[in-house]
Amino acid sequence: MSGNGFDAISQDIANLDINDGARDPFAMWDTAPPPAPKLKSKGVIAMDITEQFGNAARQLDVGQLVKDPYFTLFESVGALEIMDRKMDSGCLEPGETMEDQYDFNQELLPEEIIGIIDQLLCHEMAWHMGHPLAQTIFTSLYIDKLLSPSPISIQQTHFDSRHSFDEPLTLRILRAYCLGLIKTCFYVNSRVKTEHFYEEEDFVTHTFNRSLLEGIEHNDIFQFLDETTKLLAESETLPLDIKRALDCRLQFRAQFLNTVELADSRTSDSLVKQWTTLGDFLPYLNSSSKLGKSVPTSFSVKIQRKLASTVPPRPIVQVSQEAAFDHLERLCRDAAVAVEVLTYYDSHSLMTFVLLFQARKPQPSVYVRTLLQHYLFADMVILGTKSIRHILDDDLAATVLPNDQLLDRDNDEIEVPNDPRHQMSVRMETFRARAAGSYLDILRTICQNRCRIRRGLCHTIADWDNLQLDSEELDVELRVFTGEKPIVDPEISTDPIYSFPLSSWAYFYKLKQMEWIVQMGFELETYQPDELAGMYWYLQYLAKTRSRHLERIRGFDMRSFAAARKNPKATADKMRAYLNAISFINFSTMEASATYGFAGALSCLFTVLGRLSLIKAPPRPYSDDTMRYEVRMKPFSCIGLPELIPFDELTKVVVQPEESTIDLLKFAAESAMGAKKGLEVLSKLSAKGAYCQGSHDSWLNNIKACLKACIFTSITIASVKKAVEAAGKDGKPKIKVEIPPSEKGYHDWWVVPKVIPVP
Amino acid sequence: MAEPIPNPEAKAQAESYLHSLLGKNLRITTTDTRMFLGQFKCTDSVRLPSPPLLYPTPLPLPMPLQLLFHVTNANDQKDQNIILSQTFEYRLPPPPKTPQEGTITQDLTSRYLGLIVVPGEYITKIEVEEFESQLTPAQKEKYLAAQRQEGSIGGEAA
Repeated sequence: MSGNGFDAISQDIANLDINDGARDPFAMWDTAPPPAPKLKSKGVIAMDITEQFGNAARQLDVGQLVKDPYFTLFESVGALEIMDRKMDSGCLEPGETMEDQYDFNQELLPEEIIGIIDQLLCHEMAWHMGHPLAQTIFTSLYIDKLLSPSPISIQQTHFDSRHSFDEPLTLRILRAYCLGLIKTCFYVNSRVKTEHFYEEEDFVTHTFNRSLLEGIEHNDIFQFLDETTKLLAESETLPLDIKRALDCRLQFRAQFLNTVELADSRTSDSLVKQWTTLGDFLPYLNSSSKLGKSVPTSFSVKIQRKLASTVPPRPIVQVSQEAAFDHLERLCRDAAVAVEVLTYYDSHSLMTFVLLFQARKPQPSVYVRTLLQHYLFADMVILGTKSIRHILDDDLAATVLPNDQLLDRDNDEIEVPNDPRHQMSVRMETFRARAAGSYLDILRTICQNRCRIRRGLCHTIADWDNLQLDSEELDVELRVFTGEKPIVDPEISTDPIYSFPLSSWAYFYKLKQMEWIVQMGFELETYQPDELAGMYWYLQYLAKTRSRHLERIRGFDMRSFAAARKNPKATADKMRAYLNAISFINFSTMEASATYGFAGALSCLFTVLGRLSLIKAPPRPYSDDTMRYEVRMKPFSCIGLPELIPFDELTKVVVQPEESTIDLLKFAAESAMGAKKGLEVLSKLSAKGAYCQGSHDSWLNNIKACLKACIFTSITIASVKKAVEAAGKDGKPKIKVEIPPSEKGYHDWWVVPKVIPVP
Repeated sequence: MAEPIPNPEAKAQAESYLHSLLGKNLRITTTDTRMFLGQFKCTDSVRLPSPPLLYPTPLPLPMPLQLLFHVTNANDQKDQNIILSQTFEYRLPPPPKTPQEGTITQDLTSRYLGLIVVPGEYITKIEVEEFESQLTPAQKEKYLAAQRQEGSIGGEAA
């Protein structure tokens, strides 16, 4: 098709929003399509115009289009071509029938029931892994029979109408299992759909206009499973091992169904137990699957022809039993861990929990991640019990405003407008209204998949930059009401120094996120080997900036602490608030200094490797260093503070041409040593001291992995140094360098090169 | 039908006719007896050195989708594509496994497909849906005649 005007196309391309991840490519409508129009209805008649149409079309010039003015060429690209085997799922081969000639009345061997059930479990996990139902569970002819037409009671779910009176036990077991399976899928699908995720990228929630047994009550299905289990127990014809295997499958399904139904509640204490109980079924489920006999004829790719779908037919997804069990086992384990987020300790521990949970390898599955989102944010009540204000005030108190009058809830009670407490309350409310969204956005962002986390953070830092500016204005206004006395120290500055608590807080989080963006860049292998020196330099620059900023916050915290101690009325509780804030500042400073020490060491090491031509830049015929730097730093280019360093300046500080190679390596070794000491101190902290209550184990593993990476860096630096010294002045060192891919190193955020001697 | 003679008047008429169909519901039957019902969005011209030779295949097919044509020189006809939006696919259900006595009425099974393009070579019949009340007397007469013919002969050739 041509002649449609390029304007329309370019307009459409301009309107294309690649960020819009939640778009559903499977359906023209997000919801179910309208019911099919009736072919015979009164007053509407169909006139045969085959000939007229053909004659008229023949009059057109070759290539001429007749089209609806609102219809664009761009849209037409998405049209399914009828009779094209690859596009048209309804296209039949000559002599091929629409439906499979499958006999639902045939009796199946108990072994075959096991085989079908296990295949369905593989399909279910394939769906959890991100494949559409149409290519997984919906390829089962039994499931198709169950769901189409949509049943509204258990009695309507017989595979064959003749079964209403006399259903073989084997088919009854299969039916009960299938009912449980679909209802389980219903809960999982509803959960995922309610939360934020990326359709296609993470998960496909599309049900192809099939209802997942919404019409049948949970209890009915659960009971049906239970009764079937009893029937099976009474049966005396089955061999014992087969009986046990079938029993295990029915019980497993009942447990799975029950768990996903309960999983939505945020108060249940038994949730962890539910998940572990479910996990306990797996070993026997797996080992007994060898008893099964597969029935490939009971699965068909043809069912896609009956599903409402605007996409071409696709093959059945094959996930191995091993992979399926592996996924399910992890799902149970991760879900049990996710539940622990519901125990709240403090705001920092909460963020650490979410961050480390998401960093688990491999990343928890989409369903578990959406459960975590549900626990965190459902109904805008954090963890089901805390208001957003509670979390936000906790966080402010534990950083910049320990025991501060600004956070005093009694201020809200004052209604006299000229009372400073009333004014404070009003302004703090303004601040909370502005900051709450930004704060929750950090948590929301880190609940996404790894690539999206980095991408999301790139957006949130711009928001935090604005938040910092807005809070600065509020800080200035609040000063009038708090009567804050500035620090006057002519040695530092001639101007009085104020604390700026709210904007300080915003700056702290902004810096933290900027560090994460760079670190996630290493994890996601965004940077080329020759860029690592520059990016690690930038990381140490950010961490150092954070450390200095924390220094400033500590100064003000200490000052108010000292003032409070002079007050004889101060209670132990209030003293604890100061100590807690100062302890967090100390912890974060320690962590920042370990980061900048380690990053500094790596930056110098990579610079040296670049100098020795052991790391070479790949050929880049279409870009240069300035342009690439611009692209790399794009997320930071809009940030006011810390200012982006111009490329020339950055090159100078990274390359350090005035330093000798040996000096650089010496500095790198010292820096790595410092970082190692810092990490060792961190690794000895308690859960409370490290602000990782509820996730201390993961946190410790994380720190230990950093420590290993750091030690390995020291070793690499030493071997490079030895090789350089051995090589003499103009000779080349007899080593080569390998950069391990992400996930192969000790820690994804620390890319440590490996040095190998060459003869 | 011979080689189309350039005739500006006929061309304008043809264009206006096709334009009048835009947005209307068309029912397009394809060579495999499926029918597609959707809103007419777009069509393009046919590049034909000679008219296609159409003849019915000997396959007996159930009513009312009896017209199964075979296109001989398919290569020449690829360009008459019709695009329909919000389309539903209708097909005859498979014959029942147990033979039944007497006449049976079977509902066509349908499903939603969305935007589709039907290549001209597979089109055997095009119908437009009209409101009976809005037909001109001449159109009505023609429609009834066609109905009668279909009833008596049980099919028609192109």
